[in-house]
Amino acid sequence: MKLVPGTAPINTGAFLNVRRIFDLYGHLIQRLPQFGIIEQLIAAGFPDPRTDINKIGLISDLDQQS
Amino acid sequence: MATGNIEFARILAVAAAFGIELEKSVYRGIELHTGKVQHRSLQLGGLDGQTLLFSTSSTGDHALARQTIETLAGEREDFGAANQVNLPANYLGNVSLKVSRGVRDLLRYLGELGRALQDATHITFDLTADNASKDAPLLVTFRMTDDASAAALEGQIKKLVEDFERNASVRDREIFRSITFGREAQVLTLNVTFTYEWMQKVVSGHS
Repeated sequence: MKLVPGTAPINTGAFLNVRRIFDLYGHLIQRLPQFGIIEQLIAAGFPDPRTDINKIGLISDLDQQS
Repeated sequence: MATGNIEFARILAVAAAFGIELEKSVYRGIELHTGKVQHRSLQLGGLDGQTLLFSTSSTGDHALARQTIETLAGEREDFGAANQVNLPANYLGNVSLKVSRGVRDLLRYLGELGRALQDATHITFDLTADNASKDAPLLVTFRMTDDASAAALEGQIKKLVEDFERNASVRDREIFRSITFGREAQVLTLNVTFTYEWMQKVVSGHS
C-alpha cells in the first residue's frame, strides 16, 4: 500500500478497509443507531462509505513528542 | 487519507457550507486547500481523483501532507516498507503504534499488564475477517526491547488467558471464538477471534 510516508519517526498509523468492512458487515453497521449520524453527513455531501470510500489511512507524528 | 470515488469539489463545498474558509495552494502540481478549524490548521487535497488527503497540524506546517505527496510520487519509502507493515488481503483494519513516552504513560493504567508493556517498542493490531463464517480474528503483535521483557509480558498474557479459560462466562464465550498466544524471541503475538454471532447480538441489542 503505497499511500503514506514511512521515514522515521513517523511510524504510527491506522488503515481501514472500508469497502471490505461494508461488504461483510454493512447490513449490521447500517442497523446501528450511530449510523444515523453518518447518513446526515452523507446528506450534507460527504462521501458515502457504502459506495464511495475504498480505504482510509491515517498517520500521525505524535510520537515525535516522545 | 481516503481512497475511492471521492468528489473533491463536493468535499470543498461541504467545508464551505460549514463556514470553513480554505486558502488554495499548489504543491508539486497537487491542489491543496488550507484553513483553520478550532485553532488547528486543516488541509485538504484531491490527489488523483480517487484519493482524498486530509491533514491537521497544530503548527500549520503540514509536513506529513507534503511527504505523503512525495511518497505517492515515488520519492519516499512508503509506510509499509519502512515499518514492516504488510496488510493481509483480507484485512479489515490495522493500527501500528510506536510506543512513545506518552503511550507508556497511558499503558500504566492497565495495571500489571501495563507495567509489563513498558518495554514494548511497537504494538500492531491486525483485524481480519473470515469470508465464510464472518468471524473476525484480531492479531496483536508486541515487539519488546529484549528477551527478558518479552518473557515477562508472556507471563502476564498467559495469566490472563488462563484466567479467561477458567472463569469465562457463557456470554464471554459467545464473544470470543478462541484466544491464543505465542512468543518468538522478542516478539509476542496474541490472537483473539470475535464471533459473528456476538456482532449480530450487539446490533440486535441483545448483548
